[in-house]
Amino acid sequence: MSTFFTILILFFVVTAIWQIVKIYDLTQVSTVAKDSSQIANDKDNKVNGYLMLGFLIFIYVITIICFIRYGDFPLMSNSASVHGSKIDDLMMVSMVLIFFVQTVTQFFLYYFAYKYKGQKGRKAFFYSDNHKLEFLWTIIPAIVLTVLITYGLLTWSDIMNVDQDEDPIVIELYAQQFNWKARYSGEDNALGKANVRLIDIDRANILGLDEFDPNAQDDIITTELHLPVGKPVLFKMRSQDVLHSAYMPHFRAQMNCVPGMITQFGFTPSVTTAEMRETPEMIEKILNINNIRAEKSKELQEKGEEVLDPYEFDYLLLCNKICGKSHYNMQMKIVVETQEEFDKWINQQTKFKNSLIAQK
Amino acid sequence: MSEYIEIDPNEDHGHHHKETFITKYIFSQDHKMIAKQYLITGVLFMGVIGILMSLLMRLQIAWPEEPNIIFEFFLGKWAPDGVMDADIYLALVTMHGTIMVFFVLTAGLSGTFSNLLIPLQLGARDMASGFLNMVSFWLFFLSTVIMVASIFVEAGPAAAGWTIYPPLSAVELAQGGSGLGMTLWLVSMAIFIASSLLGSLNYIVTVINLRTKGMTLTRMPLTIWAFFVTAIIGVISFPVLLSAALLLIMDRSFGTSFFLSDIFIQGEVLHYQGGSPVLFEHLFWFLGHPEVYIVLLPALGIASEVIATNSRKPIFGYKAMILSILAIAFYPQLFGDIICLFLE
Repeated sequence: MSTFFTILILFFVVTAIWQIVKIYDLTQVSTVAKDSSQIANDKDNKVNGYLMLGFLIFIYVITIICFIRYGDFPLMSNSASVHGSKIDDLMMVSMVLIFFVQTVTQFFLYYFAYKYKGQKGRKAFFYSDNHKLEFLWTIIPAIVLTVLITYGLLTWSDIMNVDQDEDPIVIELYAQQFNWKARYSGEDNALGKANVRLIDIDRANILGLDEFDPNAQDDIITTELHLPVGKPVLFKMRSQDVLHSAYMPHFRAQMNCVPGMITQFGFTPSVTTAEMRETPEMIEKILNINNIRAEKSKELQEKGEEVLDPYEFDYLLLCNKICGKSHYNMQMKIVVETQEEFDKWINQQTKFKNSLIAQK
Repeated sequence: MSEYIEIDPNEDHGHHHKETFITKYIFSQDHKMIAKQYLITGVLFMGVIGILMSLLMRLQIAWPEEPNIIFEFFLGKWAPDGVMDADIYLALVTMHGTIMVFFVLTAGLSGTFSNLLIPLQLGARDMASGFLNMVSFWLFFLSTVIMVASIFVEAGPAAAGWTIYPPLSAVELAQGGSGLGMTLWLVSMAIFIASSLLGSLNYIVTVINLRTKGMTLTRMPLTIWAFFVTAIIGVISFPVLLSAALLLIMDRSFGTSFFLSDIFIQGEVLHYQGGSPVLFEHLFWFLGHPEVYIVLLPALGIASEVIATNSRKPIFGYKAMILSILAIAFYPQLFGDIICLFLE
């Protein structure tokens, strides 16, 4: 109730101030009648002109401050997959181009508004057409955009083209509200048939695999995604309930998971988790995060609550399409490791045929 | 097509009869009054609601996990002990997006400025059909009421994002907001689209038929050109969203499977088979993409005219501007689809 009154009082205070200002305005009209004209005079124009120039300087200064304080060059550089650098390059080229055009056009916009501000005795110059000029500033951006889009399209088709000769490991990413499962195809490197209609929770057939499909027998279902470094991986995505999106930002990879459909995305991880933790940028970033967590922990300790553990870097698979209440927390840990470590880990996992609970 | 129409002086067209309060302020057929009604309902009322929602979201992001008395006050049971519920956050995102994109930027912007400026700048006495114009506003008002009412539904308002992709928006088991909240959302949007179509048709007919003597198409102010093209895009693309909304209603209420297939949720397999959510994405973005031009073009037209007038100069490259407005409107639609065909 007190909140309601506070808001009510605030509202009345604002109304009162508004009314006072209005009354003040009304009293001014009668005394300074000669200056109340709606037409801008030279002084008004000058003030507006300088304000335009001032705003131009303001946005430039803000840009420079942001670059110095938050700038991180090159924009994206620590991709952990082979194709990642291609996406980073595309991003860099686009950003540099956009930045250049933005800087120049903003300068013209505000500088001309200042230069050609209204002035008594100056007449507007009649100039309504110039086909050459118009042609020029239509064709140049058209060409630049065509080049950019073609560059983007070529990069995209290059990334999406999975070379079957390289014999990629086939892994299924299975999305459900609100977690991920991974299904390794086992020694035969072929995923068994599956459909959500075959899901049998009582028998622990949680992904709906076809129990009689020979390809499904050696499939391995896990809750953590392990990948051997330097080996191409082909992901097949499936979803059991709503649209999800498998988003692996460190690998510059994303693909929607659509119920009733199998989508795919392939890439080759190039940096192991251990190597990534050792890179200077990552060490600095982790240090920052842990400083914040330490401060927060101190606060929590005073309140007598549990303190936060220090954060350690891990690659993540996130959901990037609104999928419901816990969408924000739908993630799976990704571990990139050497082939030996991977083999050791995968041999410890249970195969599908062994994981089924026998029917009573 | 005649360049102008002759108005019979005996017909007594623009002169309004004696008006009561109701015909003048409520069920008005006067374009200026309808413009004001759009301004108040669309821009002011819905605009304030949309902004308040974004403020709540910003507060949540600024102090995550911390109890806030403001949430408790505004959200009630959705913020137990002042901590915002995850469901209502998504609902805020959804309703904010919907209100801002459709109600403020589409209906508010076009409704206000098109209604006010088209007859005035063309030299017409009023819109081609004042009655349709009135119906258009009151349908818009009805959809506004339904949309605002859906915020107060017991299980929560629609929360599947402003793009309302099924199955999240279609299956109630997936999300509380996909129940009555989503039904009201769809009904409101269907009425909104009807209103938008009536309005757009009226603008198009007025621009084509009711220009005053000497007001040729190539002399029309750029504002009117922008409104004209915006209305055409609206008429082409909004019906597709209507069809998507209707199909979604069928999927939700009558057991069809246009957008749904192979769904296992909360321990049960649903009967849907053979549909695809991708179809909905295509239908939605057939509107969604032109929608950005519906939002952009009126602003472009107004800015062109305001700057030119205040510089005491004719607009530079008038014909080129008309061509670019037309290109912005139709080039992506036509060529985008052709390119997509080649890529597939």
